[in-house]
Amino acid sequence: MYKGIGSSVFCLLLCSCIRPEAPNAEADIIACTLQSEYIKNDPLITNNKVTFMALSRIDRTRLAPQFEISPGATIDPPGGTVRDFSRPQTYRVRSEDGKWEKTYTLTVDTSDLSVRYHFEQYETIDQKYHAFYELIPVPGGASARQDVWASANPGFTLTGMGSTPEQFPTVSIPDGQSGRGVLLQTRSTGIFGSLLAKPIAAGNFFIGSFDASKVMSNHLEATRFGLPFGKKPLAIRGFYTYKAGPVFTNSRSEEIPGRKDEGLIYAVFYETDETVNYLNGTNIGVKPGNIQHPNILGRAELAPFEETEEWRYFEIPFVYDRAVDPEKLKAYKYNFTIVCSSGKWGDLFEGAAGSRLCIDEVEVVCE
Amino acid sequence: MGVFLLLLLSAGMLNAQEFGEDKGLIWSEQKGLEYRLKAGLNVGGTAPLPLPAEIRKIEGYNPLLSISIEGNVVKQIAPKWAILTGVRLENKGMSTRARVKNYRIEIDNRNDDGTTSRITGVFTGHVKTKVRNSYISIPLLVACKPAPRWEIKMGPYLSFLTGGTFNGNAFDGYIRENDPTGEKIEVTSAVYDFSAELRKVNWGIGLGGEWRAYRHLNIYTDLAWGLNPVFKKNFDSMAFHLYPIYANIGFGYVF
Repeated sequence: MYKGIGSSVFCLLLCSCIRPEAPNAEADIIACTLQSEYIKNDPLITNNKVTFMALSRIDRTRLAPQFEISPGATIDPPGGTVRDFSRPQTYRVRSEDGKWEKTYTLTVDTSDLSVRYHFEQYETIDQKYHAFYELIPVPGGASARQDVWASANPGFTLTGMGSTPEQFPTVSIPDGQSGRGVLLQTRSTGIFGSLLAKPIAAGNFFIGSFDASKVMSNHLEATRFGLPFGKKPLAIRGFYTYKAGPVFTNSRSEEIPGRKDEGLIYAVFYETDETVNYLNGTNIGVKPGNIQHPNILGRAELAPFEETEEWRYFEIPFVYDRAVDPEKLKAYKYNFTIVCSSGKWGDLFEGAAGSRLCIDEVEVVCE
Repeated sequence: MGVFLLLLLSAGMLNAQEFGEDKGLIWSEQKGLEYRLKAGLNVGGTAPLPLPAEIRKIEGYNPLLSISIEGNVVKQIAPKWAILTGVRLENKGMSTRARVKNYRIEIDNRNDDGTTSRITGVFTGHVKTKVRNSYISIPLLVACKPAPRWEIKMGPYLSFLTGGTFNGNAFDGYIRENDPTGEKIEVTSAVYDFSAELRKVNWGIGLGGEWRAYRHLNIYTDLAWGLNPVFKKNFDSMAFHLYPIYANIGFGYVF
């Protein structure tokens, strides 16, 4: 009884000392809209970039994006300001408490998704991990940058395990099949990861974007597969090498003797609509019972997946369940993705640390 | 209640064994010495003072079951004054649940090669904390008797940690890496354990009142206000210091 009184007195004492809430310290762009019928999909918003994909018909020189930002924050220049997006523009967001500021780059990308990927270009983010981009030739001799391929590297930073790019699951390597290539490796996530029953991170690499905010809460939603594509893919081809790691473990870090890790290379072509902006790790695959997402029209998967030390050429034809509508194709209502992983069961955190998949010179054969 | 009866009984036995036919007690009384055995419960918190703005709401509190047993020697030094010392075996514990905003947390991660890397960030969401520390404490108090049945005491105490846990989890929120502009990561639940970082020696000020209900029975309440933080000096995984502040309520047997 008196314990009850004691605790309520203590609670009262503590609660009476709650200090006034400090002004908001965040400086985020939460949402962004562009009034134009030529926008292909919802913008991709990361922690410092906003990217719209648009049809080439759009007049990029006079656009006025509107923003939703963190409560109390300010943005400069303000939403509704008409600017020329022939080249990317920057916006500065300042937090309500005035202590924090973040610069966003807003890009309106009118180039079409490339069909040839050489993986020569990369940059090092926060001096930690590699992010890949492609340079697409544009009329006039210049080239446009496309951030097409994504990986789970931004999520891996949270484990604190990677201090150099080579320690991250997805990294650029100098000895590709031709020029540079991409190495995907299954990495241990250390104590932190094992506490969350996510003891390994398979290296992944895919066309789409990675939403790092979902890594811990719902990791399958972090991988947003696919970008708008105006052609019908018939096959994908390229080169790979694969070596499985020595010890296969499950999500509780227990060794499973007799199981061998396998790599994964596949492509999916699907329709976008009001409810499906993109597919993610929860619905891109074929669900148990062989039901695939109704928006998927066709897929191509490398099977069987064999180990190889030498660069091996692959060409995988697309298998379609449904016909492609030419009108929707023209309006970019279809998304295309290629997904690669150093561990086929990486989404379940089952696999072998040390599994290595190298990828290079990927090409999409289109109709 | 059973605990107290047991203690009173054992106190009686002690009395019979060690002081024989009260010879010892009579001798002690002539020297102005008095012996007491106390048992009580600690209710309080290992808490930051004042509460930082990062803590938005205390959503729950449980004092756990924190028992203390104390033996005292009281030496009369003047008609109304005495000094008191002794040994106290005690638990100080609590569990709390709080809603926090931009609460700095750091987690050390051990790599395969034995090196450690640190994840730093600010967390907005809910934090559950459970503290359960056991101490051997030595109080040194000055006691004043303003009235025959009343005694008030004050003085420093020293506590040695004999075992401690400090752990909890952060849940239903998000971490931003490094600072509020960092990469946002949603968190459903992440555990932390700072038990190894607890300081071995704590000290503070004790303040208490005792009322003699019967010839041999005291009812008392003591406050132990910790003046050095519970974590080691180089511990910087929290943006603020935590101090043990506990009230002790119980009964004492006077020999």
